[in-house]
Amino acid sequence: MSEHFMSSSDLLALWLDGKLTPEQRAEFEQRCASDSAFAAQVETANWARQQAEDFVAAPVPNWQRENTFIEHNTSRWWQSPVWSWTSMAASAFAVMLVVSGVQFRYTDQGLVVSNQPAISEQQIDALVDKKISAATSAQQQSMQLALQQYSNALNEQQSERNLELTRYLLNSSRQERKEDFAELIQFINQQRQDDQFFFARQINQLQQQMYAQPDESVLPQTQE
Amino acid sequence: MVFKKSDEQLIAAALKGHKKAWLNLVKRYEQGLFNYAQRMTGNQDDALDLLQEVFMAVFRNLPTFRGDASFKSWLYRIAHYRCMEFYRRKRQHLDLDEADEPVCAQPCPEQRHGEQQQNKQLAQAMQQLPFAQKAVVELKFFGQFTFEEIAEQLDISTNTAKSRLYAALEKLRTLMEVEYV
Repeated sequence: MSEHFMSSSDLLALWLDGKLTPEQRAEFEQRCASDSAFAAQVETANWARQQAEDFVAAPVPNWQRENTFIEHNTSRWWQSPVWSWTSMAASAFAVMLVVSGVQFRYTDQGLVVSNQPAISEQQIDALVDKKISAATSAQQQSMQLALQQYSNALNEQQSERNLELTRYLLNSSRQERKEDFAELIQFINQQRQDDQFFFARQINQLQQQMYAQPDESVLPQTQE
Repeated sequence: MVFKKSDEQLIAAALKGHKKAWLNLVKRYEQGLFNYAQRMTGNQDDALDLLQEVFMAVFRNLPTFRGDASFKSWLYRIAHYRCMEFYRRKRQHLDLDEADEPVCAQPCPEQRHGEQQQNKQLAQAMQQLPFAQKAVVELKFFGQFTFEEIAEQLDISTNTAKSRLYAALEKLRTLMEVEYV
């Protein structure tokens, strides 16, 4: 029964929120029928709701949506401002070291920091001269060594060529002598063969003469 | 099938610096917000300015969004504050301190252009309402929020929201009766 005492304001609010129970809905309809002021309020609300539902939304003109995005949350660790401060501090420190002439030296006793020059200009000049002379002598030595190597190589090459020439001459002379001896032997053999033919023919002639004059003791005539 | 990313997913991506996610979120709500701003200001240029201001404010405050209420409620809450700020500036600018409420008595030319009278009556009549009543009408009928949500967005009690709406309805009814006499 308590719902019957619900105020018009609450009833209308529930109706507008769409939260009326069946009993409340019945009460709402009854209130509309009996209360003209309430009914007029409902009618206006209904008209407004209908107007809103029928409202055709206007298209959005072109606008700069990108301007609403601010890229400040996307910084990475290497983009941190700490690094710029660190680099500036390091630069200031380096400038201070240069201006104050601080030098770092590593000696047997360890790392030494001082603002005095480690060596004088004369020592620097001596060191430079020493370095230059050492470099010059080293260059000369290297050049001499290269020249020596070149000379040795030339001598070796010349010796090889002489040896090859000697071998060639020996081989060629040996071959020529061999050919000469072969020709000589061939000639002697030819001569011996001719002599054999000659003596064979002499013997044959003598034999024929002996057969032709068997009683004559004829001594073989000597060849004139 | 196209899967639509939720507001929370787009917000999380935008907070990580993904511009595209933020622009998708903007495009999702820009039309409703633009029409809200146009109804509240009665002027397209002002509505566009307000639209940009609201989204910039939303982006700045995005890390503070905890998801207790819906993103839409939070967005319209910010829009309401920006709208109030807009009215305050406009009042100072036009020196309308003596005026009861800064209303647009006549629709602006660009507003009249292309209007469909059938569904613009309420929007036009709203321009006659005080700002506080107009905001409640806007959120109730166009935003379709409940009275509890409206009260939360406007930082008022539920009963105040109801009374403002009923007062606005009464005035609207009077205006409509005058219109059709």
